Amino acid sequence: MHSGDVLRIALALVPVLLFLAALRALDSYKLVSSRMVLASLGAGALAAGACFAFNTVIFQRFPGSQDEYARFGAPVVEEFAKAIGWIFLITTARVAFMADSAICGFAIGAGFALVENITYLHLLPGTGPGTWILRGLGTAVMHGGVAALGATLSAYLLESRQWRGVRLFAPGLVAAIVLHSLFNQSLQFPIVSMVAAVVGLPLILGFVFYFSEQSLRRWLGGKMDRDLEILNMITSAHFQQTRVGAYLMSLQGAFPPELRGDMLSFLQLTIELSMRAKGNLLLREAGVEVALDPELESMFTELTYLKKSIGPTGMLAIRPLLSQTSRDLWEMNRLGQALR
Amino acid sequence: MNIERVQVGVKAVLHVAGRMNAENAAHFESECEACISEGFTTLIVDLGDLVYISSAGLRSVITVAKKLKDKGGVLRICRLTGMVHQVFEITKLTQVFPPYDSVESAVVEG
Repeated sequence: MHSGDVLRIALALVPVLLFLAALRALDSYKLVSSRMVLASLGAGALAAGACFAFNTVIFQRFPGSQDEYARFGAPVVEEFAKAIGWIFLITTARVAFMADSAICGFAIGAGFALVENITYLHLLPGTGPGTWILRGLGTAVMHGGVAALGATLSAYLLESRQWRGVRLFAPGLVAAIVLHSLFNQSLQFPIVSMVAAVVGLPLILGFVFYFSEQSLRRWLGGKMDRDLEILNMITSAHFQQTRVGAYLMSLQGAFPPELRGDMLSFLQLTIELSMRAKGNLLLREAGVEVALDPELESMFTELTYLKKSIGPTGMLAIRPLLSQTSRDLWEMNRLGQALR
Repeated sequence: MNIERVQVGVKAVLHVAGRMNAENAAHFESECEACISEGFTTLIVDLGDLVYISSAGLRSVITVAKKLKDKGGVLRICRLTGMVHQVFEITKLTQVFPPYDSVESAVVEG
Protein backbone atom coordinates (compact mmCIF):
# COMPACT_ATOMS: atom_id res chain seq x y z
CA MET A 1 0.00 0.00 0.00
CA HIS A 2 1.39 3.43 -1.00
CA SER A 3 1.73 6.28 1.49
CA GLY A 4 -0.99 8.14 -0.45
CA ASP A 5 -3.36 5.22 0.09
CA VAL A 6 -2.56 5.20 3.80
CA LEU A 7 -3.38 8.93 3.96
CA ARG A 8 -6.68 8.39 2.12
CA ILE A 9 -7.69 5.55 4.42
CA ALA A 10 -6.71 7.63 7.45
CA LEU A 11 -8.79 10.56 6.22
CA ALA A 12 -11.73 8.26 5.64
CA LEU A 13 -11.50 6.51 8.99
CA VAL A 14 -10.14 8.91 11.60
CA PRO A 15 -13.42 10.87 11.94
CA VAL A 16 -15.55 7.78 12.49
CA LEU A 17 -13.09 6.30 14.99
CA LEU A 18 -12.92 9.63 16.86
CA PHE A 19 -16.69 9.68 16.93
CA LEU A 20 -16.71 6.14 18.35
CA ALA A 21 -14.16 7.10 21.01
CA ALA A 22 -16.29 10.14 21.94
CA LEU A 23 -19.38 7.92 22.35
CA ARG A 24 -17.45 5.60 24.67
CA ALA A 25 -16.22 8.57 26.69
CA LEU A 26 -19.82 9.77 27.11
CA ASP A 27 -20.82 6.43 28.61
CA SER A 28 -20.23 7.11 32.30
CA TYR A 29 -21.25 3.58 33.36
CA LYS A 30 -18.67 2.00 31.00
CA LEU A 31 -21.30 -0.39 29.70
CA VAL A 32 -19.31 -1.57 26.68
CA SER A 33 -15.95 -3.32 26.98
CA SER A 34 -13.14 -2.82 24.45
CA ARG A 35 -13.59 -6.44 23.42
CA MET A 36 -17.22 -5.83 22.58
CA VAL A 37 -16.29 -2.77 20.50
CA LEU A 38 -13.69 -4.78 18.58
CA ALA A 39 -16.17 -7.62 18.01
CA SER A 40 -18.72 -5.10 16.72
CA LEU A 41 -16.15 -3.56 14.37
CA GLY A 42 -15.42 -7.10 13.12
CA ALA A 43 -19.12 -7.85 12.60
CA GLY A 44 -19.45 -4.65 10.56
CA ALA A 45 -16.40 -5.56 8.48
CA LEU A 46 -17.87 -9.00 7.75
CA ALA A 47 -21.19 -7.43 6.77
CA ALA A 48 -19.38 -5.09 4.38
CA GLY A 49 -17.53 -8.02 2.78
CA ALA A 50 -20.81 -9.88 2.24
CA CYS A 51 -22.49 -6.76 0.81
CA PHE A 52 -19.57 -6.08 -1.53
CA ALA A 53 -19.92 -9.58 -2.99
CA PHE A 54 -23.71 -9.24 -3.30
CA ASN A 55 -23.60 -5.74 -4.79
CA THR A 56 -20.96 -6.80 -7.32
CA VAL A 57 -23.28 -9.54 -8.60
CA ILE A 58 -26.19 -7.07 -8.85
CA PHE A 59 -24.06 -4.52 -10.72
CA GLN A 60 -22.92 -7.20 -13.19
CA ARG A 61 -26.45 -8.45 -13.82
CA PHE A 62 -28.12 -5.05 -14.06
CA PRO A 63 -25.42 -2.67 -15.34
CA GLY A 64 -28.02 -0.10 -16.44
CA SER A 65 -29.61 0.31 -13.01
CA GLN A 66 -26.55 1.09 -10.91
CA ASP A 67 -27.72 4.56 -9.92
CA GLU A 68 -31.21 3.40 -8.82
CA TYR A 69 -29.69 0.45 -6.98
CA ALA A 70 -27.27 2.73 -5.11
CA ARG A 71 -30.13 4.97 -4.02
CA PHE A 72 -32.79 2.39 -3.15
CA GLY A 73 -31.42 -1.18 -3.25
CA ALA A 74 -28.02 -0.90 -1.55
CA PRO A 75 -29.38 0.80 1.61
CA VAL A 76 -31.78 -2.14 2.13
CA VAL A 77 -29.09 -4.78 1.64
CA GLU A 78 -26.44 -2.99 3.67
CA GLU A 79 -28.67 -2.09 6.61
CA PHE A 80 -29.98 -5.67 6.75
CA ALA A 81 -26.39 -6.93 6.83
CA LYS A 82 -25.39 -4.50 9.59
CA ALA A 83 -28.60 -5.21 11.52
CA ILE A 84 -27.65 -8.90 11.88
CA GLY A 85 -24.88 -7.73 14.24
CA TRP A 86 -26.90 -5.36 16.42
CA ILE A 87 -29.97 -7.62 16.51
CA PHE A 88 -27.73 -10.46 17.71
CA LEU A 89 -26.32 -8.26 20.48
CA ILE A 90 -29.80 -7.22 21.66
CA THR A 91 -31.43 -10.66 21.48
CA THR A 92 -28.58 -12.30 23.38
CA ALA A 93 -28.72 -9.51 26.04
CA ARG A 94 -25.14 -8.45 25.34
CA VAL A 95 -26.49 -4.92 25.19
CA ALA A 96 -29.60 -3.80 27.08
CA PHE A 97 -29.62 0.00 27.18
CA MET A 98 -29.88 2.71 24.57
CA ALA A 99 -26.32 3.92 25.22
CA ASP A 100 -24.56 0.56 24.79
CA SER A 101 -26.78 -0.24 21.77
CA ALA A 102 -25.72 3.08 20.22
CA ILE A 103 -22.01 2.41 20.83
CA CYS A 104 -22.12 -1.14 19.43
CA GLY A 105 -24.35 -0.09 16.52
CA PHE A 106 -21.96 2.71 15.67
CA ALA A 107 -18.97 0.35 15.90
CA ILE A 108 -20.67 -2.08 13.49
CA GLY A 109 -21.17 0.82 11.05
CA ALA A 110 -17.55 1.93 11.52
CA GLY A 111 -16.31 -1.60 10.74
CA PHE A 112 -18.52 -1.59 7.66
CA ALA A 113 -17.08 1.76 6.55
CA LEU A 114 -13.51 0.50 7.06
CA VAL A 115 -13.93 -2.38 4.58
CA GLU A 116 -16.03 -0.28 2.21
CA ASN A 117 -13.35 2.42 2.07
CA ILE A 118 -10.61 -0.14 1.43
CA THR A 119 -12.60 -1.50 -1.53
CA TYR A 120 -13.18 2.06 -2.79
CA LEU A 121 -9.45 2.67 -2.58
CA HIS A 122 -9.07 0.13 -5.39
CA LEU A 123 -12.15 1.28 -7.29
CA LEU A 124 -11.26 5.00 -7.14
CA PRO A 125 -7.48 5.15 -7.59
CA GLY A 126 -5.85 8.56 -7.73
CA THR A 127 -8.70 10.49 -6.11
CA GLY A 128 -7.72 13.52 -4.06
CA PRO A 129 -7.92 13.99 -0.29
CA GLY A 130 -11.18 15.97 -0.62
CA THR A 131 -13.05 12.83 -1.70
CA TRP A 132 -11.71 10.91 1.27
CA ILE A 133 -12.49 13.66 3.75
CA LEU A 134 -16.07 13.58 2.43
CA ARG A 135 -16.13 9.81 2.66
CA GLY A 136 -14.74 9.97 6.20
CA LEU A 137 -16.98 12.70 7.56
CA GLY A 138 -19.99 11.82 5.44
CA THR A 139 -20.34 8.19 4.39
CA ALA A 140 -18.44 6.58 7.27
CA VAL A 141 -20.24 8.64 9.93
CA MET A 142 -23.54 7.90 8.16
CA HIS A 143 -22.84 4.13 8.25
CA GLY A 144 -22.10 4.27 11.96
CA GLY A 145 -24.89 6.71 12.73
CA VAL A 146 -27.80 4.94 11.06
CA ALA A 147 -26.81 1.58 12.55
CA ALA A 148 -26.54 3.25 15.96
CA LEU A 149 -30.00 4.79 15.57
CA GLY A 150 -31.51 1.48 14.43
CA ALA A 151 -30.04 -0.35 17.43
CA THR A 152 -31.03 2.44 19.83
CA LEU A 153 -34.62 2.51 18.63
CA SER A 154 -34.86 -1.27 19.11
CA ALA A 155 -33.34 -1.01 22.61
CA TYR A 156 -35.88 1.69 23.45
CA LEU A 157 -38.79 -0.49 22.23
CA LEU A 158 -37.40 -3.44 24.20
CA GLU A 159 -37.27 -1.27 27.30
CA SER A 160 -40.82 0.01 26.80
CA ARG A 161 -41.97 -3.64 26.65
CA GLN A 162 -44.75 -2.73 24.23
CA TRP A 163 -43.14 -4.56 21.32
CA ARG A 164 -42.10 -8.18 21.28
CA GLY A 165 -40.60 -10.71 18.86
CA VAL A 166 -39.20 -9.92 15.44
CA ARG A 167 -41.34 -6.79 14.98
CA LEU A 168 -39.39 -5.19 17.84
CA PHE A 169 -36.54 -4.65 15.36
CA ALA A 170 -38.62 -3.53 12.37
CA PRO A 171 -38.90 0.22 13.21
CA GLY A 172 -35.14 0.51 13.86
CA LEU A 173 -34.26 -1.32 10.68
CA VAL A 174 -36.71 0.70 8.58
CA ALA A 175 -35.40 3.97 10.08
CA ALA A 176 -31.82 2.94 9.25
CA ILE A 177 -32.78 2.03 5.67
CA VAL A 178 -34.73 5.26 5.10
CA LEU A 179 -31.96 7.50 6.49
CA HIS A 180 -29.31 5.63 4.49
CA SER A 181 -31.41 5.93 1.35
CA LEU A 182 -31.98 9.66 1.96
CA PHE A 183 -28.23 10.11 2.34
CA ASN A 184 -27.64 8.30 -0.95
CA GLN A 185 -30.23 10.48 -2.77
CA SER A 186 -27.93 13.46 -2.38
CA LEU A 187 -24.73 11.80 -3.56
CA GLN A 188 -24.45 14.61 -6.13
CA PHE A 189 -24.29 17.06 -3.22
CA PRO A 190 -21.89 15.28 -0.87
CA ILE A 191 -21.17 18.37 1.23
CA VAL A 192 -24.87 18.67 2.14
CA SER A 193 -24.93 15.00 3.19
CA MET A 194 -21.72 15.40 5.15
CA VAL A 195 -22.98 18.46 7.04
CA ALA A 196 -26.27 16.68 7.81
CA ALA A 197 -24.39 13.66 9.18
CA VAL A 198 -21.80 15.59 11.15
CA VAL A 199 -24.24 18.09 12.69
CA GLY A 200 -27.38 15.98 13.06
CA LEU A 201 -25.91 12.81 14.45
CA PRO A 202 -24.11 14.22 17.51
CA LEU A 203 -27.31 16.04 18.47
CA ILE A 204 -29.44 12.91 18.21
CA LEU A 205 -26.91 10.70 19.98
CA GLY A 206 -26.47 13.33 22.69
CA PHE A 207 -30.20 13.05 23.49
CA VAL A 208 -29.97 9.25 23.33
CA PHE A 209 -27.18 9.19 25.91
CA TYR A 210 -28.97 11.62 28.18
CA PHE A 211 -32.19 9.57 28.22
CA SER A 212 -30.30 6.28 28.44
CA GLU A 213 -28.42 7.39 31.56
CA GLN A 214 -31.64 8.61 33.18
CA SER A 215 -33.31 5.29 32.43
CA LEU A 216 -30.33 3.27 33.66
CA ARG A 217 -30.22 5.27 36.90
CA ARG A 218 -33.95 4.60 37.51
CA TRP A 219 -33.60 0.91 36.73
CA LEU A 220 -30.51 0.56 38.89
CA GLY A 221 -32.19 2.10 41.92
CA GLY A 222 -35.55 0.38 41.55
CA LYS A 223 -34.24 -3.09 40.78
CA MET A 224 -31.59 -3.05 43.47
CA ASP A 225 -34.19 -2.14 46.07
CA ARG A 226 -36.43 -5.00 44.87
CA ASP A 227 -33.46 -7.39 45.05
CA LEU A 228 -32.83 -6.25 48.60
CA GLU A 229 -36.46 -6.80 49.52
CA ILE A 230 -36.40 -10.42 48.27
CA LEU A 231 -33.05 -11.06 49.92
CA ASN A 232 -34.48 -9.80 53.20
CA MET A 233 -37.37 -12.24 52.79
CA ILE A 234 -35.00 -15.16 52.12
CA THR A 235 -32.82 -14.42 55.14
CA SER A 236 -35.73 -13.50 57.40
CA ALA A 237 -36.43 -15.57 60.53
CA HIS A 238 -40.08 -15.64 59.41
CA PHE A 239 -39.23 -16.81 55.90
CA GLN A 240 -42.28 -19.08 55.58
CA GLN A 241 -44.61 -16.14 56.15
CA THR A 242 -43.02 -14.08 53.39
CA ARG A 243 -44.27 -14.00 49.79
CA VAL A 244 -41.26 -16.03 48.57
CA GLY A 245 -41.50 -18.53 51.41
CA ALA A 246 -45.22 -19.05 50.91
CA TYR A 247 -44.70 -19.66 47.19
CA LEU A 248 -41.93 -22.23 47.75
CA MET A 249 -44.07 -23.97 50.38
CA SER A 250 -46.86 -24.22 47.82
CA LEU A 251 -44.55 -26.35 45.66
CA GLN A 252 -44.28 -28.93 48.44
CA GLY A 253 -46.38 -31.57 46.70
CA ALA A 254 -44.68 -31.19 43.33
CA PHE A 255 -40.99 -31.17 44.23
CA PRO A 256 -38.94 -33.07 46.87
CA PRO A 257 -37.44 -31.05 49.77
CA GLU A 258 -33.84 -31.14 48.46
CA LEU A 259 -34.99 -29.69 45.14
CA ARG A 260 -36.91 -26.91 46.89
CA GLY A 261 -33.72 -26.22 48.85
CA ASP A 262 -31.84 -25.89 45.56
CA MET A 263 -34.54 -23.55 44.27
CA LEU A 264 -34.08 -21.30 47.28
CA SER A 265 -30.28 -21.38 46.88
CA PHE A 266 -30.64 -20.57 43.17
CA LEU A 267 -32.85 -17.61 43.96
CA GLN A 268 -30.51 -16.29 46.63
CA LEU A 269 -27.41 -16.71 44.42
CA THR A 270 -29.12 -15.01 41.46
CA ILE A 271 -30.05 -12.04 43.62
CA GLU A 272 -26.58 -11.83 45.13
CA LEU A 273 -25.02 -11.80 41.66
CA SER A 274 -27.55 -9.25 40.50
CA MET A 275 -26.72 -6.97 43.45
CA ARG A 276 -23.02 -7.42 42.85
CA ALA A 277 -23.45 -6.33 39.22
CA LYS A 278 -25.33 -3.25 40.37
CA GLY A 279 -22.68 -2.47 42.98
CA ASN A 280 -20.13 -2.51 40.13
CA LEU A 281 -22.32 -0.14 38.10
CA LEU A 282 -22.59 2.27 41.04
CA LEU A 283 -18.82 2.27 41.42
CA ARG A 284 -18.27 2.83 37.70
CA GLU A 285 -20.80 5.65 37.74
CA ALA A 286 -18.62 7.37 40.37
CA GLY A 287 -15.49 6.65 38.33
CA VAL A 288 -14.12 4.08 40.79
CA GLU A 289 -12.14 1.21 39.26
CA VAL A 290 -13.82 -2.18 39.84
CA ALA A 291 -11.43 -4.98 40.80
CA LEU A 292 -11.92 -8.53 39.49
CA ASP A 293 -13.77 -10.58 42.09
CA PRO A 294 -12.12 -14.01 42.63
CA GLU A 295 -15.35 -15.40 44.13
CA LEU A 296 -17.32 -14.90 40.93
CA GLU A 297 -16.11 -18.03 39.16
CA SER A 298 -17.25 -20.36 41.92
CA MET A 299 -20.58 -18.52 42.17
CA PHE A 300 -21.25 -19.05 38.46
CA THR A 301 -20.18 -22.70 38.72
CA GLU A 302 -22.62 -23.15 41.61
CA LEU A 303 -25.36 -21.40 39.64
CA THR A 304 -24.85 -23.79 36.71
CA TYR A 305 -24.90 -26.78 39.06
CA LEU A 306 -28.12 -25.61 40.74
CA LYS A 307 -29.81 -24.94 37.40
CA LYS A 308 -28.97 -28.47 36.26
CA SER A 309 -30.14 -29.96 39.54
CA ILE A 310 -33.44 -28.07 39.49
CA GLY A 311 -34.12 -29.07 35.87
CA PRO A 312 -36.35 -27.37 33.28
CA THR A 313 -39.64 -28.08 35.12
CA GLY A 314 -38.30 -26.74 38.40
CA MET A 315 -36.94 -23.66 36.64
CA LEU A 316 -40.40 -23.04 35.18
CA ALA A 317 -41.89 -23.35 38.65
CA ILE A 318 -39.61 -20.70 40.17
CA ARG A 319 -39.91 -18.35 37.20
CA PRO A 320 -42.47 -16.12 39.00
CA LEU A 321 -39.82 -15.42 41.64
CA LEU A 322 -37.05 -14.64 39.17
CA SER A 323 -36.78 -11.39 37.29
CA GLN A 324 -35.57 -12.37 33.83
CA THR A 325 -35.83 -9.21 31.74
CA SER A 326 -33.19 -8.51 29.12
CA ARG A 327 -31.44 -6.24 31.63
CA ASP A 328 -31.29 -8.99 34.25
CA LEU A 329 -29.74 -11.30 31.69
CA TRP A 330 -27.44 -8.49 30.58
CA GLU A 331 -26.04 -7.94 34.06
CA MET A 332 -25.28 -11.67 34.37
CA ASN A 333 -23.54 -11.56 30.98
CA ARG A 334 -21.56 -8.54 32.11
CA LEU A 335 -20.37 -10.25 35.28
CA GLY A 336 -19.57 -13.43 33.35
CA GLN A 337 -17.53 -11.40 30.82
CA ALA A 338 -15.19 -10.29 33.59
CA LEU A 339 -14.18 -13.94 34.07
CA ARG A 340 -13.30 -14.54 30.44
CA MET B 1 -32.57 9.13 59.43
CA ASN B 2 -30.64 10.99 62.09
CA ILE B 3 -27.08 12.23 61.65
CA GLU B 4 -24.88 13.50 64.48
CA ARG B 5 -21.50 15.02 63.90
CA VAL B 6 -18.57 14.81 66.34
CA GLN B 7 -15.10 16.20 65.79
CA VAL B 8 -12.16 14.02 66.89
CA GLY B 9 -8.93 15.94 66.30
CA VAL B 10 -8.76 16.75 62.60
CA LYS B 11 -11.30 14.07 61.74
CA ALA B 12 -15.07 14.30 61.56
CA VAL B 13 -17.18 11.40 62.79
CA LEU B 14 -20.75 11.12 61.53
CA HIS B 15 -23.08 8.82 63.48
CA VAL B 16 -25.88 7.78 61.14
CA ALA B 17 -28.99 6.12 62.56
CA GLY B 18 -32.30 4.91 61.14
CA ARG B 19 -32.97 4.24 57.47
CA MET B 20 -31.03 5.70 54.53
CA ASN B 21 -33.20 5.66 51.42
CA ALA B 22 -34.02 7.64 48.28
CA GLU B 23 -35.85 10.28 50.33
CA ASN B 24 -33.03 11.19 52.68
CA ALA B 25 -29.77 10.03 51.04
CA ALA B 26 -29.23 13.59 49.80
CA HIS B 27 -29.29 14.77 53.44
CA PHE B 28 -26.39 12.42 54.23
CA GLU B 29 -24.54 13.69 51.18
CA SER B 30 -25.03 17.35 52.15
CA GLU B 31 -23.82 16.69 55.71
CA CYS B 32 -20.67 15.09 54.32
CA GLU B 33 -20.19 17.92 51.83
CA ALA B 34 -20.47 20.43 54.66
CA CYS B 35 -17.64 18.62 56.45
CA ILE B 36 -15.54 18.58 53.27
CA SER B 37 -16.09 22.29 52.67
CA GLU B 38 -15.03 23.00 56.27
CA GLY B 39 -11.70 21.36 55.44
CA PHE B 40 -12.09 17.85 56.86
CA THR B 41 -10.28 15.33 54.68
CA THR B 42 -10.96 12.26 56.81
CA LEU B 43 -14.59 11.40 57.38
CA ILE B 44 -15.55 8.50 59.58
CA VAL B 45 -19.08 7.28 59.06
CA ASP B 46 -20.50 5.18 61.87
CA LEU B 47 -23.31 3.04 60.47
CA GLY B 48 -23.80 0.96 63.62
CA ASP B 49 -27.32 2.26 64.18
CA LEU B 50 -28.36 2.26 60.55
CA VAL B 51 -30.96 -0.46 60.02
CA TYR B 52 -31.60 -0.05 56.29
CA ILE B 53 -29.72 1.25 53.26
CA SER B 54 -31.10 1.39 49.72
CA SER B 55 -29.32 1.87 46.40
CA ALA B 56 -29.71 5.65 46.80
CA GLY B 57 -27.82 5.44 50.10
CA LEU B 58 -25.05 3.35 48.54
CA ARG B 59 -24.78 5.84 45.69
CA SER B 60 -24.39 8.70 48.19
CA VAL B 61 -21.67 6.85 50.11
CA ILE B 62 -19.76 6.18 46.88
CA THR B 63 -20.18 9.78 45.68
CA VAL B 64 -18.86 11.23 48.96
CA ALA B 65 -15.93 8.80 48.94
CA LYS B 66 -15.07 9.85 45.38
CA LYS B 67 -15.20 13.56 46.27
CA LEU B 68 -12.94 13.01 49.28
CA LYS B 69 -10.52 10.92 47.24
CA ASP B 70 -10.30 13.67 44.62
CA LYS B 71 -9.27 16.06 47.40
CA GLY B 72 -6.70 13.61 48.77
CA GLY B 73 -8.95 12.57 51.64
CA VAL B 74 -10.59 9.32 52.72
CA LEU B 75 -13.97 8.00 53.85
CA ARG B 76 -13.95 5.28 56.50
CA ILE B 77 -16.99 3.18 57.24
CA CYS B 78 -17.34 1.56 60.62
CA ARG B 79 -19.66 -0.68 62.65
CA LEU B 80 -21.50 -2.34 59.79
CA THR B 81 -24.22 -4.57 61.19
CA GLY B 82 -27.20 -6.65 60.12
CA MET B 83 -28.80 -5.94 56.79
CA VAL B 84 -26.52 -2.97 56.05
CA HIS B 85 -23.46 -5.21 56.52
CA GLN B 86 -25.05 -7.80 54.25
CA VAL B 87 -25.64 -5.21 51.50
CA PHE B 88 -22.05 -3.97 51.64
CA GLU B 89 -20.78 -7.57 51.57
CA ILE B 90 -22.97 -8.71 48.67
CA THR B 91 -22.27 -5.68 46.50
CA LYS B 92 -18.59 -6.09 47.36
CA LEU B 93 -18.38 -2.49 48.48
CA THR B 94 -16.44 -3.84 51.48
CA GLN B 95 -13.52 -4.19 49.04
CA VAL B 96 -13.68 -0.47 48.32
CA PHE B 97 -14.49 0.53 51.91
CA PRO B 98 -12.83 -1.99 54.23
CA PRO B 99 -15.10 -1.75 57.29
CA TYR B 100 -13.78 -0.91 60.75
CA ASP B 101 -15.15 -2.68 63.81
CA SER B 102 -15.32 0.48 65.91
CA VAL B 103 -15.17 4.25 65.62
CA GLU B 104 -11.98 4.21 67.70
CA SER B 105 -10.13 1.87 65.30
CA ALA B 106 -11.19 4.06 62.35
CA VAL B 107 -10.00 7.21 64.13
CA VAL B 108 -6.68 5.73 65.23
CA GLU B 109 -5.63 4.53 61.77
CA GLY B 110 -3.58 7.04 59.76
